[in-house]
Amino acid sequence: MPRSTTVRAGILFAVLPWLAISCGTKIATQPSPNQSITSVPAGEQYLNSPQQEHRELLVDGRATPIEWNLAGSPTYVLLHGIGGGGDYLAAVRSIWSYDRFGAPQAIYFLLQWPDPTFSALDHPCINDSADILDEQGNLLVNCRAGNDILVRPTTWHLGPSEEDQLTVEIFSDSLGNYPADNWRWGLETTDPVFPSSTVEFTGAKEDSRGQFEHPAAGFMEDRYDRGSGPVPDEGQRTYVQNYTAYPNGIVPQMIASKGTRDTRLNRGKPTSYVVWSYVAKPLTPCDSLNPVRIDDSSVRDKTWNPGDYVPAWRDTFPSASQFDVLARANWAAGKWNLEIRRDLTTYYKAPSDTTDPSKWTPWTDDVQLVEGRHYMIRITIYDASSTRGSRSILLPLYLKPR
Amino acid sequence: MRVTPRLAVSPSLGRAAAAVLTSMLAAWADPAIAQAQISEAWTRASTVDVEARSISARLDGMGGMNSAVEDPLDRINPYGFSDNPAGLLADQDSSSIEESSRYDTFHDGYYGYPHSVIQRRSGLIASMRNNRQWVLGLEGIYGGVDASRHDVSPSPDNSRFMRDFDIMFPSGFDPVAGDNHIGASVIVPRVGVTYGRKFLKNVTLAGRMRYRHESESRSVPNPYEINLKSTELSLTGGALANPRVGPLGLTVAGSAAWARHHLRGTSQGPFNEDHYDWNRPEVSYNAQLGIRYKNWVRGIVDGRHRSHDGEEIAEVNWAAQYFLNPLPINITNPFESVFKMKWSSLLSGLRRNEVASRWMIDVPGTPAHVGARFRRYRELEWIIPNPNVLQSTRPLNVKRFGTQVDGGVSVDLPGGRGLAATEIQYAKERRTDYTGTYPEILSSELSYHFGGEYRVFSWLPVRGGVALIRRDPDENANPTLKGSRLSAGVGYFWDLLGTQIDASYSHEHVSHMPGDPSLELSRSDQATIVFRYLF
Repeated sequence: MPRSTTVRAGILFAVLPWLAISCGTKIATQPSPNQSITSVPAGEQYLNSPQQEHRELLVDGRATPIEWNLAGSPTYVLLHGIGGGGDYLAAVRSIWSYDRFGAPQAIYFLLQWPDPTFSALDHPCINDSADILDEQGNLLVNCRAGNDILVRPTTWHLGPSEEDQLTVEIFSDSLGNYPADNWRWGLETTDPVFPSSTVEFTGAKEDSRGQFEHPAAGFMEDRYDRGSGPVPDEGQRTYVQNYTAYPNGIVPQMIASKGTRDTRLNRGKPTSYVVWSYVAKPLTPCDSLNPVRIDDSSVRDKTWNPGDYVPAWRDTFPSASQFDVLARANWAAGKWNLEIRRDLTTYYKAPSDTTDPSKWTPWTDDVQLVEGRHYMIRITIYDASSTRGSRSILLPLYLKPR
Repeated sequence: MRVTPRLAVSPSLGRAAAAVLTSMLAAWADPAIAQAQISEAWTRASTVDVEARSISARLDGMGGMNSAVEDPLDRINPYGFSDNPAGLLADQDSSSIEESSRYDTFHDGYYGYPHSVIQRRSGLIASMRNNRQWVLGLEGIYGGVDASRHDVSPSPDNSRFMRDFDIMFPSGFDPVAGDNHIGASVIVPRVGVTYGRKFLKNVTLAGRMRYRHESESRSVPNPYEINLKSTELSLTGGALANPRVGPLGLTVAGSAAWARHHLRGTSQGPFNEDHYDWNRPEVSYNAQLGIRYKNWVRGIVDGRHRSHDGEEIAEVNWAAQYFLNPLPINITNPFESVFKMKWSSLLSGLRRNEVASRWMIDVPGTPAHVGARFRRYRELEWIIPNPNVLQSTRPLNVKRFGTQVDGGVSVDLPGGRGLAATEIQYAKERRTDYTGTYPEILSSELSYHFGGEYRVFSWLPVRGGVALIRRDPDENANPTLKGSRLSAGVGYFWDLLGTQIDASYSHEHVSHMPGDPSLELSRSDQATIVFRYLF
């Protein structure tokens, strides 16, 4: 019969190793940053700002505290590298709005992410050989004598650079099931499509739509994904190809210009990466002046030189269901601010019934959003690329009820 | 090894002091250790062993014998084989001071990418024994590793270097699809003290405290610069008893240790100040059974376990101008755009179980000795980064299952003039990757060793050896690499100081076989010098 001290010592020796191996950390002691996005309700007219002024949230890419403090602290979303891209954190805030009578209106997002470079040109048409003047200012290209080098396919090629892009996908339920709404923002292809002011440009007509509701807001390309990849929503997209392809090269179709009564090129859009369809003019052999150089006071020679470019896309106003998603971004000191707005429910409005909501029909190629419901959202940014980017996981999106 | 009889003569105090001084001078003139962790990560997939606890220039000079020859610095007992502090008292009869210095270089090139590792280390180990009643051991080791490696991922050799890199490496902030030339310089000071005392008649209890510090200076083409420091404080307790069963002299021993290990990554610049604190306290315990039969059979069987669970806490503090801060610059209220957060960035863990044994038989009536060594281990290691935050470390979830078998014979030359030995060593490891990043990888190495020692004079043994090497870093990938290692060494008893000096040098050259697209060419050099003074 073993002595009691032996038994106690035996128990101690048996227990000690288990105590020893149970030390250490097996669960996280620090919480992760919150990974769900809550869209908080807010009045469409900003009655709850410190100044109590009346105005709508301005979709202009400038995130002011008055607009966004209501949304609370941002959700910091990790974007994992895809296609060789890096890992980044993006800050996301969201609110959804109701009008003065309490009817749901729209959902807003503010996305902020770091990007050290501003990349606007998406595969621009680059001039390889057309040089209008030599170093002494002598004319080298005389179109009147039949020199058509500006419109020869061998003069141009498509450059490799790509624009900064972002996509937001909102899946139709809390499990992340398809269909999903897919919004694409492109710095060249969608961002500059904001309404022209009829006050400043008296000739502006079809490109002034929305100038009083959202004067600074551009658009996002609205797409719909049933699980087999995104397809464009019904309607005209914000960009069309601006060159004609030939077996031996390309030729730009249009260059930036002025309307007949405008005083500014391109109706105020940045000439360096926008060709505004409504005032653009065809490129002819005798267009010896490069509009990008005309708009740049830092260069003296305003004519075409090798290395000059023409944007490969012409920007135009969207229509039908492509008109739903407003967005405008602002880049400063290595950071992007992107504000997005879309009506919670998007409607087809027949031209004859734009004022009678009972005759509007919800678009079937959009995911309609309802307060109180949960959805999944995914954000992807592309830094000057269409393949190399960073993507979040599926994040819960909750439209918090009033 | 036969200790020169003159060593038993007790020297004067002046000689002892001179010996200590000489050893210390040699130690600092020839820098060096590194043990595990940061330095281990940077020396992966190389021949440089930063974990070597004891260094024997004598065995190195004879071609790298592991089992066929028993050396005072590589004894078959719980201290020499298992590092049990309770075994220090009985490790040898007299007090001793040993100073060992080593210089390792490794250069390897495959698929056009060169890798190199250099290690310098020097250590001073002293054991003071009092009439077999108590022992006080002191150790101080200083070393450093310089590594220049390539992170080629994906690579045809399944990222031999990077796949097990288990310290911080925030490559995701600016990933490089192709080659990434990285390097680091690591310095490692370590000190330790051991005290053992005999209780009753056959029981020895001992305790040990070790402290190690590693600091790294990293060179990585990554905008997110991070440098690591690690500190480890380990406390070990051991017990040993010597029962006797008939003709068998047994040694039953065990020890347990707890180590506080803290790895800190720091990234600091004009716009950021980030700290990553990775705590992974380790627990280990082991048990040994030593067997001795009539002075001609000696053996030991050892079971070991060690484990840790760890967590890394990140604290980042980014100014608005910092390239990772998603918030824009707020001119009116700059503090609003400061990104300051604390999060759990990973959980990690390790479970390692190992069984090892070593035997030596002095064949009765012959000058022959037969030795064997065996080791089998199973190791699970994981690093699971938090998917919601910026990842500071590469994910890892692997099982390593390895076996090492060595066996050899040595024969004493007549008249105590030396010995001749031959040995075969085989080691293999199967690596199973649960992350799915890499396929199952089976690596192995087989080597044949021939070496000997000849005493030109009783105080001047010369040694030499050759090893034929067959190395296969990935059995499913390329053909085997083949090469050889030449070793030479010399011993000298310096009568003035009463000190035994052993030195060795070896050169290894391993190259690819015809048809191997890697065109791998590897060479390494190792120089060792050991001073040993008994009193």
